[in-house]
Amino acid sequence: MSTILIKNLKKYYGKVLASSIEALEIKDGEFFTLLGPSGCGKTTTLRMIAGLISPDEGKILIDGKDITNFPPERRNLTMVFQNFALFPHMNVFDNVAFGLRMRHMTEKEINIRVMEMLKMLRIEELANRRIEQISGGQQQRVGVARAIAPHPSVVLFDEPLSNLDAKLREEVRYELKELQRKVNITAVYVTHDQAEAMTLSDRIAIMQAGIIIQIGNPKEVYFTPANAFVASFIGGTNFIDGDVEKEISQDRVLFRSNDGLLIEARKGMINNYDSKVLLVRPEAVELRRSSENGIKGTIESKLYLGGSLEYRIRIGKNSTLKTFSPSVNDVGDVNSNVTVVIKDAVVIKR
Amino acid sequence: MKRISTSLVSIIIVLIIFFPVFVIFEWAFSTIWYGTSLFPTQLGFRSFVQVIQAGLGKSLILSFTIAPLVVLFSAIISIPAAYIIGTKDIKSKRLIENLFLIPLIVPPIVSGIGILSIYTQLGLIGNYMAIVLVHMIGATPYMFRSVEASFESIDPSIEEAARVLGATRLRTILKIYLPLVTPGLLSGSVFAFSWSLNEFLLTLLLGLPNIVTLPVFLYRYVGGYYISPGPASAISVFLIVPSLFIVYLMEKYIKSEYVAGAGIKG
Repeated sequence: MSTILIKNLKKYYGKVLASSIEALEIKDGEFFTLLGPSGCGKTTTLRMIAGLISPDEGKILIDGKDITNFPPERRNLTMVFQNFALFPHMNVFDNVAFGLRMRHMTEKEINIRVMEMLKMLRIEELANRRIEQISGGQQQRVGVARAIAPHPSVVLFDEPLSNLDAKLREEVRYELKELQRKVNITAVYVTHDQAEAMTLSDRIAIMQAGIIIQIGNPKEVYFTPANAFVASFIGGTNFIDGDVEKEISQDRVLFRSNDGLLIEARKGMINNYDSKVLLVRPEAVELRRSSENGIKGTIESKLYLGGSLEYRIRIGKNSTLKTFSPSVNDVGDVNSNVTVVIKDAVVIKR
Repeated sequence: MKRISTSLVSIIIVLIIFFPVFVIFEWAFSTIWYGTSLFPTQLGFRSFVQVIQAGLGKSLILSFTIAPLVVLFSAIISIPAAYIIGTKDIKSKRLIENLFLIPLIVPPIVSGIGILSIYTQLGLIGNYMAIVLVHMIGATPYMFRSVEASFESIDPSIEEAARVLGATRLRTILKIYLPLVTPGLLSGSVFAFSWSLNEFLLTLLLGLPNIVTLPVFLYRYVGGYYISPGPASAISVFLIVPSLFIVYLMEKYIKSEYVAGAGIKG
C-alpha cells in the first residue's frame, strides 16, 4: 500500500532511448498497467522501479522516499516474473517462505502466512511438492503467492501470464482479479495483452518507443484513445479519413469524410493542429435493412465465425467499415445493400 | 548386427581401460610372480608390507591432506570468479575464460623450473602449503570451468527474484546459487582432487625432501636403475581405489536433477 512517484526517468541502451517517463504517479492501492508492444520500454521501466537496472536520469520515489539508488532488496517491493523464476532447489512452501525468511519472521508466523497464501491461491495441497513436479499454471500461482506473502509496499508483474497457454492464461487472469479484490495491493503490471490490461487495471499507460502516449482508465483509453496507435492497440478499429467540418457543441463535432459523408462524432482529445481521423469501433456500427434511414452501404464480405458474423461494408470509395453481428441476425449476403447506423464515433489524432 | 558390433566395441574399450588396472592389482597382491603367466604364482601381501615399512603411511597422510586443501582453496577462489563471469554480462568474457586455461597449456616442467628459482629464494622448497599452492595451478582451472558452467546454466531471473524478495547479494549467493551450483562444485572437486592426488612433476621438483606424496613415493620403485613392480603396484592401489570410489559416489548421489530444474523451464 504505497504511492510511486516517477520524475523524469530516462534509460538509454547505447544511444537508443529505451524509456523516458516525464512524470507518473501510481496511487496507493492502485492496479496500474504499462501496456505496449514489445520493445516499447515497459519492461525497462518496471525493472528500474524494481532496482534491477539503474536509470541514467531521474528519480523514483515510494511514499515520498527517494529510492532511486537503493538496491532491490531495500525497496520493499516484490516481483512476479514472466518465466516464473522459482527457486528450483526448494519446494513450494520454501519458495513462498523465502521473502518472509529474508524479513526475519519467526517460523511460526511464516508457517501461518505461507499456508494462508497457498490457500488463497488454491494450491495448499502442493506445499511439499518440488517445483518441477507442478504445472506451469501452478508454478505461476506459486510465483504470485511468493510475491504477495511478505506484504510488500508494491508488487511488480512482468508479463506474468505470457508463458501460459491461452486457457490457463484466462484462468490465472481471473484469479489475479479476485486476488486484487481481496488484498488491496499497489501493483504495477506490464503486459502486451490488451485483454489483460483491460480486465485487471484501474489505470493503463500505453507506451510506444519508450514514451507514455496516454494514461487513463480502461474505458477512457478504449473510447477516447489519444491517437490511432492507441486505438488500434486496444480493440478493433475502423478508421475513416477526413476532417472536422464544424463544432456542434463543446464536445461534439460534425466530421466530413473524404467521400463526402457527414458523421456526428465526439471531439476526443484533438486540437486544431492535429491531422485527424475518425475512429469507429466495430461494435458501434449497427446494420439495418436498406429501406431504413442512415448511411447507405453494400456488403463487401461476410465471414461466418460461429456465434457471430463479420461483415465488411463499403460506405464510400475510400472507406469500409468492419462490424460484427450475431449470426442469428443475418442482414444479407455479399453485394446486397444495407443501411449503416454509426452509434458512436470519435475524432482522434492520426 | 548393429547391436553385436556396438557391444563388441564396448567390450574392447573396457578391456583397454581395465587391463592395465587389472595387472596393477595382480602385481600388488602377489608374493611370487615373474609376470610371464596370466596369473600370479602365489598371492599375498608382501608388497604392501614392504611399502608400509618404507614409509607409505606418511605419504598417504600427505597426499590425502594436500588434496582436500587443494579442493577447498581452489573452490574458494573459483566460486566468486565463476559467479561474476558466469552470470554477469562482461566484456571479453570468452577471453577471460580462456586465460583461466593457460595453466593447463604451459607444461608443468616449464612452470616448475620457474617456480623452483622463486621458491629457492623464498625458502619454500619442501614447504607443505607451498605444495598445496603449486597443486592449485592445475586444479583451479578445472574447478573454475566446472563451477562456471553451473552458474551459466542458471536463469538470471532467479537471482533477480531473490533480490527483490529481500536477499542481499551475499545471501543470494549462499542461499540460491550455492545449492544450485553444487553439482558443478562437486564435479570440479573430483577433478581438482584427482589432479592433486596424481600431481608428480612439480611435487618432485619443489617438495623434496619433506613432501613425498604417493606419486613421488611410487617413483622410488620405478625410477633410477631398477623397476620394482610389486611395491609400485601396491602404492598405485592407493591412487586408483579412491578415484574409483569417488566416481562411484558421484554416479550414485549426484543426478542432474538440480541442474535440470535450474532455470530451464520457461
